[in-house]
Amino acid sequence: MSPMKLGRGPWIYLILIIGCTVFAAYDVITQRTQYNADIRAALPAASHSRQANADRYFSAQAMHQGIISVRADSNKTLLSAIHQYLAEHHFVSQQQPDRQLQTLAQFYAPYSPLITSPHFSQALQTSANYSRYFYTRLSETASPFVSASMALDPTLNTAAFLAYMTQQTTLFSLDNDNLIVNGERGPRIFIFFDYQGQENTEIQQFDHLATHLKQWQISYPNADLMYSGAPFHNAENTQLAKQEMALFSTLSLVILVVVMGITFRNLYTFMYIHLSVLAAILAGFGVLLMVFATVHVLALVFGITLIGIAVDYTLHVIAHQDSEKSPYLKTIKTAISLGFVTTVLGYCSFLFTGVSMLIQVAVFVVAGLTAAWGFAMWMVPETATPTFKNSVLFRFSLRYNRVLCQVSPRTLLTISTLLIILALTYLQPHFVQSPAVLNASSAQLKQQEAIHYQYLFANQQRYLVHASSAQQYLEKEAKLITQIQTHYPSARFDAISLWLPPVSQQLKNRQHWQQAVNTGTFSPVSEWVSAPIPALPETLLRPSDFTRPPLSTLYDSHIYEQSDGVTGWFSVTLAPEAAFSASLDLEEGVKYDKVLILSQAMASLIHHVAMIALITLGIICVVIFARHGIGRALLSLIVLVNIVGGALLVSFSIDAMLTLFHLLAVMLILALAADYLIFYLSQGREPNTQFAITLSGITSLSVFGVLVFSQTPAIHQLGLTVLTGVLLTLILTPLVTKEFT
Amino acid sequence: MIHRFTVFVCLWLLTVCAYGKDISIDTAKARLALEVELPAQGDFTQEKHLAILKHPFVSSGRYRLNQEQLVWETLAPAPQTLTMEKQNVFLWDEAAGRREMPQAKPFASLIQQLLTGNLDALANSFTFADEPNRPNCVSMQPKSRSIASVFAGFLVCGKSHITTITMTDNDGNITLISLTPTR
Repeated sequence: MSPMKLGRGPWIYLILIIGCTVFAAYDVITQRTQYNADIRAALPAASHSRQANADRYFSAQAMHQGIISVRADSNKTLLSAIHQYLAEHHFVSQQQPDRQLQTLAQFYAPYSPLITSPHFSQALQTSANYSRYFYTRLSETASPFVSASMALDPTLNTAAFLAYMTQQTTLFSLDNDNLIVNGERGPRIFIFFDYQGQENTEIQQFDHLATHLKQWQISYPNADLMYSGAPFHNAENTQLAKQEMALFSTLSLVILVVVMGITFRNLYTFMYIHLSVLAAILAGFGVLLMVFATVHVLALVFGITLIGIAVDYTLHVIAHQDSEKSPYLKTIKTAISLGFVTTVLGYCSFLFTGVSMLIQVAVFVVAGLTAAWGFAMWMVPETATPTFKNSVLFRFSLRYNRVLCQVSPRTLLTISTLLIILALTYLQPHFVQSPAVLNASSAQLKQQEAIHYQYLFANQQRYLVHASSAQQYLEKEAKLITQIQTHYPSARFDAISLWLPPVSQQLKNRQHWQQAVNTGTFSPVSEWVSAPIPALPETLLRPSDFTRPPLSTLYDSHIYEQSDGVTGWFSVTLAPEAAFSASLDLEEGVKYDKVLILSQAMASLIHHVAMIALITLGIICVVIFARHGIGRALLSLIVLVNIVGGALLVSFSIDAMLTLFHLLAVMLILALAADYLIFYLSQGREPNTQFAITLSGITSLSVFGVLVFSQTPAIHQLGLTVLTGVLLTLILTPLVTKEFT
Repeated sequence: MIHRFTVFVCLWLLTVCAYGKDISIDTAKARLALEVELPAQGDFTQEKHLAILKHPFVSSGRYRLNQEQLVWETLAPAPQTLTMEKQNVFLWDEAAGRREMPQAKPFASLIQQLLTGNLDALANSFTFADEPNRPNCVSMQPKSRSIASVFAGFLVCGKSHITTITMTDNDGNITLISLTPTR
């Protein structure tokens, strides 16, 4: 075989591939593209429901928040080291709002007649009550609330309001500026922080931070140091995915090199095969980086799987090379084009899912396969002396062909179909929708996450409520809080309607205030204080007052304004849900169940992919029907259903569950099986075709075989299903054609 | 009115302007020479000199301190009890009943550490300074942000036991607590 003279097509092809390579290299060097491994980022909205939209809005901040905790009696050197590291690496700790007390007092004091707290409300009932209340508050030693607000509001209503709000919403106590939370493992100091450096370095910085934290865990074993938060999971998952991708890509390539080397024993052939894979990966990667600013790491995993498909086209051309023009070359090139179009059409259906990760997969695979197809069409010489006729694989494929000749396709397919029906009945496979099963984080990180959750959110229920306007939302939320307080008076709330009472409540408060003024209830104030009590404000407190500091952050974290109204959340703590849930009239609200929302999103994604798999199956059958008639199309359909069903059943019996990634594997299986079916149907079981398919199957098996050992659940599941599927494809696809004569 | 203003200014000058040079914890210990024996108990009087008040607001009560808890019980003019148990602080009054009050922890910890003579613990949150003409007094300035957000400084006086604690908040309001051990 000698290198051929290149025409215009190959040159254009080469320029495009080099362009993709240069762009990919530039992108990697400049770190322009961000990579994300958070499985939640790959999920679509459960629906475009208000709840799902609101959840995305409210979760956005938590996606970048890290949490560290240590025992409250930990060595101060450790705490100093942690704070110093955070400060030096653009991590910004979130502080308690205590320092804003003066600002809050200045904000609320002019509105004092419109706000209230349970104690002040009770005090206003009689003059005696108010006197007692006034003296009690004034007797409080070193009350920060009295100090901060008495000059502005001598009735001490603002002081009581701020004390009540702090008591309601603060889970922490302060000790030397440390936030302390009590829990089962004793009091712990919590540090909450965000990364505010360059966005594309967040994963790397959290990874480095985790390394330091692990070292401190060893150096200070008594501190019981723990860390959690989405960015830590993201960092762990990304690192693992990157390591595994590097390992598995190398392993796959090594296997490919060995198999091809042994089979062809010819440098040019060997080179063409590997160049076709390289061209496919570079084109896929380059185009992906060109199109997307943020790439999901799981989409890159398909880069590895592409090796298995990309090599097929070149292998078929090489298998039909001859010293003279091969009579089969023209038909095999038509078959290659047909297989390519079918696979591309299947993957193109991912483009219409609206799910970013699946669209990325489609772009990667379509670009990669186009490069592989172009390589087979233009870059591989058509005439050369075959060097594989004496190879072990060629002899094996001939022998396999002979075995197939002794088997009745009808019998084999009937047995296979019956087995699948029996297994379906016995195993009853089902899809798991919880994204947690796809989390590749270490057991230690998951455990620490669970412990932090217990400390921070135990006995807390969240509710989402929808209303037509912010004002209506406040009314609804206040009504719900009253309902819960009726059943459980000591319940604590994190709710915006406590900070911004609805209009009806403000009017009621103003009326009580006016009555107190008229009846002389505030007489102790004038007896002791020289300043006047606040006058009735000209306007009510409105949501627009909360769009600027000091309460805009709080308001924005609770309220999400959508096109059709307002969705907000509030939480209830220290009240057993059973005590009030039955009587809670949420109207347009629901319990804010994060796990449920994510599971719904996963279910939606699974549904999407299942639909696409069915469409792809349909496309394959239509193409085969158009070329080979209804009989072959039906036979192909039975074969494909057997392959997919068998692969999923074997995966289920090994993994004890089916997930999105088992299903994504079905798409790959269909792509490979479609190619094999089309080659068999166009060429029959001709030895060279049989050889090319066997070789292609073996490369696919080796590529996906290594993925089975992945610690990333998603990659393992993908690998296992494709491995089984390819094995079944190799066995079942030859049954659609006649024996070669 | 002039008398009230004069007292207020004098107290403020005493606590803020009289802030001397920094001293070590050992010097602070030597100045106060605290001899603490638990359990301890006594009476207190609290005078609040707030700029907004026509005259100082005086309250009084008693305190009890042992290894487990500090009880700071105001008896007049309105009963109120602050209790610190381990890491938790509770406030009780007739109108509102007993409730957790984490915001009062900095004060409760301060009183507890002063009454137990635990200046080592106080050194984590405060720097100490001398009082040039008052050999048995120590000025304390908060290091921690949470305490500094409310208090500008403290003046603690006593010999063998704490007799007065003067607290100045960031608006210049002063609270003077006088302690009388009853055992």
